[in-house]
Amino acid sequence: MLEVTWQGHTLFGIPAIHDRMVFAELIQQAFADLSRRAATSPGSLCCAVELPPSAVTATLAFLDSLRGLGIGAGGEPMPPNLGLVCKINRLHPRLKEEALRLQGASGRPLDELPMEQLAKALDFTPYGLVCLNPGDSIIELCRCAQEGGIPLHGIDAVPVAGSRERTPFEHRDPLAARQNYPGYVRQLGQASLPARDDYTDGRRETIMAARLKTLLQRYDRVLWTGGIAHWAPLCALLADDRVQPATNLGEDDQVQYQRVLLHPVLAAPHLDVFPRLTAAYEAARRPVTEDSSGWQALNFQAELHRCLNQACAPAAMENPVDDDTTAGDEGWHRVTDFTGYMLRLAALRQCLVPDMGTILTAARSMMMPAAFIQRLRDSLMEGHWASPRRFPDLPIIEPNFQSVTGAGDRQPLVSRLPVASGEEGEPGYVDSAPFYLSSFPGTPAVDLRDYGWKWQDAPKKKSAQGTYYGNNFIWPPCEDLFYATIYEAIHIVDAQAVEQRTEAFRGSLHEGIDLKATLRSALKDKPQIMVKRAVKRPLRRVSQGEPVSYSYSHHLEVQPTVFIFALPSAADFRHWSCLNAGTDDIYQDLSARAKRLYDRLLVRGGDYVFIESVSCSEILTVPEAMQPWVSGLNHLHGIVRFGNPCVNFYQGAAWLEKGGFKAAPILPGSFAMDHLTDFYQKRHALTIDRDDWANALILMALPYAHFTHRVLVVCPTAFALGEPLRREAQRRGVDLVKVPLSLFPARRITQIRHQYSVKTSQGGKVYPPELTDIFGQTATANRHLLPLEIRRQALPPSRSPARGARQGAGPRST
Amino acid sequence: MSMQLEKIQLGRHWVWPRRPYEISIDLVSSFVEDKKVMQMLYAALLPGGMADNLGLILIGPPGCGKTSLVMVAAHQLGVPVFVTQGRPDMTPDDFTLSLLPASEAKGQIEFQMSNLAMAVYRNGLFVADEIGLNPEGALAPCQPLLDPRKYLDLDIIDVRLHSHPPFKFVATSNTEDYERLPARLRSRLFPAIYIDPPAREQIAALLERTFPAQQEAIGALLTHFWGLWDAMKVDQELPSPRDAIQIFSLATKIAVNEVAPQWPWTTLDAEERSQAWSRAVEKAPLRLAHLELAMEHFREGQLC
Repeated sequence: MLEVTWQGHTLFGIPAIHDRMVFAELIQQAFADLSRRAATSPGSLCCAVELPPSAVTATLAFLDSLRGLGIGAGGEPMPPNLGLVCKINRLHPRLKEEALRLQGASGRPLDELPMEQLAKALDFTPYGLVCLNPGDSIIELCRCAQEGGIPLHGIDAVPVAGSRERTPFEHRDPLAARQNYPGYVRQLGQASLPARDDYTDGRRETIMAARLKTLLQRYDRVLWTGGIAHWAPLCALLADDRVQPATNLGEDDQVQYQRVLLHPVLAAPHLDVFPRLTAAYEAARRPVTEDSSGWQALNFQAELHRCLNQACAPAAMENPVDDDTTAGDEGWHRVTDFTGYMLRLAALRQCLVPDMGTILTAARSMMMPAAFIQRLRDSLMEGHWASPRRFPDLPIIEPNFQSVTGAGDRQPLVSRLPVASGEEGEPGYVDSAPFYLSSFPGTPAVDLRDYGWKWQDAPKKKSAQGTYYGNNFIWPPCEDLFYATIYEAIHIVDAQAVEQRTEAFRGSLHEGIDLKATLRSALKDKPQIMVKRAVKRPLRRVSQGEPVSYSYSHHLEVQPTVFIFALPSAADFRHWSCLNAGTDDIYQDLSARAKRLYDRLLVRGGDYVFIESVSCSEILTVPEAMQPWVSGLNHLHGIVRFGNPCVNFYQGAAWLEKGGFKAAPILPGSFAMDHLTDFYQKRHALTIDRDDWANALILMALPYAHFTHRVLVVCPTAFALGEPLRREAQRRGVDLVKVPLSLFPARRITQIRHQYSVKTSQGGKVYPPELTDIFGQTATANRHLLPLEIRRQALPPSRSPARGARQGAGPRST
Repeated sequence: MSMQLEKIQLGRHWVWPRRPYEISIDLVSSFVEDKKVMQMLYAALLPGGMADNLGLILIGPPGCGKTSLVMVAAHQLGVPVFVTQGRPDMTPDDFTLSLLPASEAKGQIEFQMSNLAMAVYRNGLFVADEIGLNPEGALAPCQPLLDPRKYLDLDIIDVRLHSHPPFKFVATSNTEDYERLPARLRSRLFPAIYIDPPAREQIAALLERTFPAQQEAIGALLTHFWGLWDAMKVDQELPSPRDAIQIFSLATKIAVNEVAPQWPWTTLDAEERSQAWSRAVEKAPLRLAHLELAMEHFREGQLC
């Protein structure tokens, strides 16, 4: 604790780095120390914090209501994800000109302009947040003052929006402050000077100094905590007689604060180096009124060891996760290397204990097994998170999970506002428009979503009333994963490079003499003529994780591919079905060039169905939990796919254009299987024997292999192509390329065999939010697996400049 | 002035060495600094840790500065760096010893050390640039080096080179090629450091540093550049630093060509040409129209 005297009264200062627990501990020590001093030298005491008065009032009221619920002050641990949000109505002067220009151009006052426009044009966010982090020195002082019945004052100025985000500056780990606190404060005070905003910081410090002088006039002792960078200027201003004591303490500021519940992924970056520490701190914390003699500083290293031990628990090693994007089981042996690398990385980042970003990044870089990373992540995130069930009246601030942000873009948030109680007594929520908070950095140190962390208590999202979901589409992540697998199979076959091997001459020169090898043999005193021989490499297995997104190639989406998942003998019960890319209504959705082609080849209004795939499957019962949003579930035995994922009307039309309406069957009127077999008989003179379903599926692909003259057949190694099929393929000049099913991870094959038909509206453009909860993923969860060009096809015309304007098209049904 | 190389003795043979890669100051000053990635790289490169592991790999999209990052790190650590560019026609010899005809005695064969062998020999840094482009068999000699054996066999002359700190094997690869690397090699190359494409501000800062002659108008040029780029690209895809520099370089050439189309560039030697170019760039300020034209070329795929 630092001390400054002013007119015989003492200011005790705990300058702190926000959200770092070491300084919260110092507050507890300071309180114990001041209590001891009070016994020998009585005098009045008050506390002051670097918060505006209204924020302190709101914080104390919130803490008081938590005590009413039995939280804090010796009761249940205080959750780390509660906060207060305020609207800021003061603008930084640097934004004045741009704000006036924006108002002039739009003809509307600033607060009526869309939030995204304000954020982009002015880098301006009119909302601020006070996170009630138990490990923050300011919050700790608020709690201590309240528990000890000491007067508490907020002495900061009201917040100003539009201050530049502080330039981060290198600082030693706050744990170093435990050894030499005054030296630490002095060093950081100097280091933080370049990061100052002279307008706001100077102004705030003058106000704080004036108010501190007023408090020092009223009390013998004042205990203050706030940002470490403010301490030296505050001391200078206290010594400056030109700064007079404030005539009022700003109690009349009118800023309103709204209590909120923060999604843990938003709260986590505020909780020291990782959230588990906050939980440990809170578990060990005792109210200031209790005896503090047994108090011990939190052992950060010990907590980290506990996390690592949990991640290495035998149960984790025995249950490896096989959808692992990292290494397999052998990765466990790299634990020592991982910890070594993590500690070196932490040392370079000047951390005595690595933060969550460093730990998880090191684990992923060292290719530790997924089970290890998951357990480590969960262990680091352990905490007493407040849940919506416990706080049903509070809005939830969470990242806008639907948004796609570019690199370095500010993360938009969404507020889920509680409405009348939903089903089964659960609180219902309505989402606000996206907005931004000034205290959240553009890019968090670690994006927990990348590591698959989920908040188990997150309330489920519900559809807006009155939305009609009349179209049936296959759940897009299933389709995207399937097509990513198809594209991977195509890539494997294309990349089956010819390898040059060298061997001794045995009568054939093959690709010619290998001079180097011949010379080498002479040098080794075993002279012989060596020749080069071209050998086709075996097809390589794909990696265990998700498919690799390869580059787009010219005929990627117009080459039929057949998957035979089971040997025909092993799959007796079967059901034939077709998926279509649209009906003749899709005409509205075609570009001008494609319309001309359509008119030449087809008849407008001809009641067509454009087939995208034909499958042979077993119909499974849709699990009750998925009803009523999932309308069907097929377990595929085999399928011929002609196109691209066709996840909505835009993509269906794009594929038909790409293939010039020649890449797949076009059935008049209906897509019943009888019509399809008739179509093949009449149009292609092919007899489809539905009893021999596997060969029938491959046969259906042959007439549509005219772009690449090959059909990929991904099938079990034991599957034999029928002789009539081989002859027909040869007659048509089509290569049948067998790709072993075993090249792909078994788990992925199981996933893509299941086709979930789900209800959508507006032709696959709108999916019920309930599906996200049902499947645990959003509709675009697997889009990134596809080449960019394929992804673009699913975008509306304004975002897809390659194609003309599109309106609606026919539904895609199963 | 380059020094004459002298043969070195390995076992009972004399072999030709190779020179380390000379890292230019331009490269050191014009790369996109990503502090976190740089720290991850240093944590892997600094001697004294991870006893059993000599390999690491940088993975990222083309043009994001993977190789530059390694070069800058090597420069700052003060270790000699030897680079081999991945090619589909590489053979195991390219990672051990090459044979070459003797320059003096006709009909005789001499040996030349590979860049990898040189890096092991001189305890330097070996960079396998675009490692995924090499055939699988060509990389076989590297394997003992990347596991606890830590040696490189030069079979032809029957010599085994043992590695010593600070030797490191640094591979670079784009994401696609990395997935194609055989598992036995991937499992030896860790940490795997992923490099994200740089953000808009980083690219802008890089352009400012790389084109100091345009300092006065750089603000307007950058605004126009982003406008043109956003109009051309969807999905919020940003240019790679290499793309951005190439577009600005081409725009500069167009601007210079307007001022001095007939300059006898070819009659000047390298130093004179460099000086003449600097003078010409100063006299030919970059205008928005030049940028538009360069972007048009880029869009049409003429910029390679």
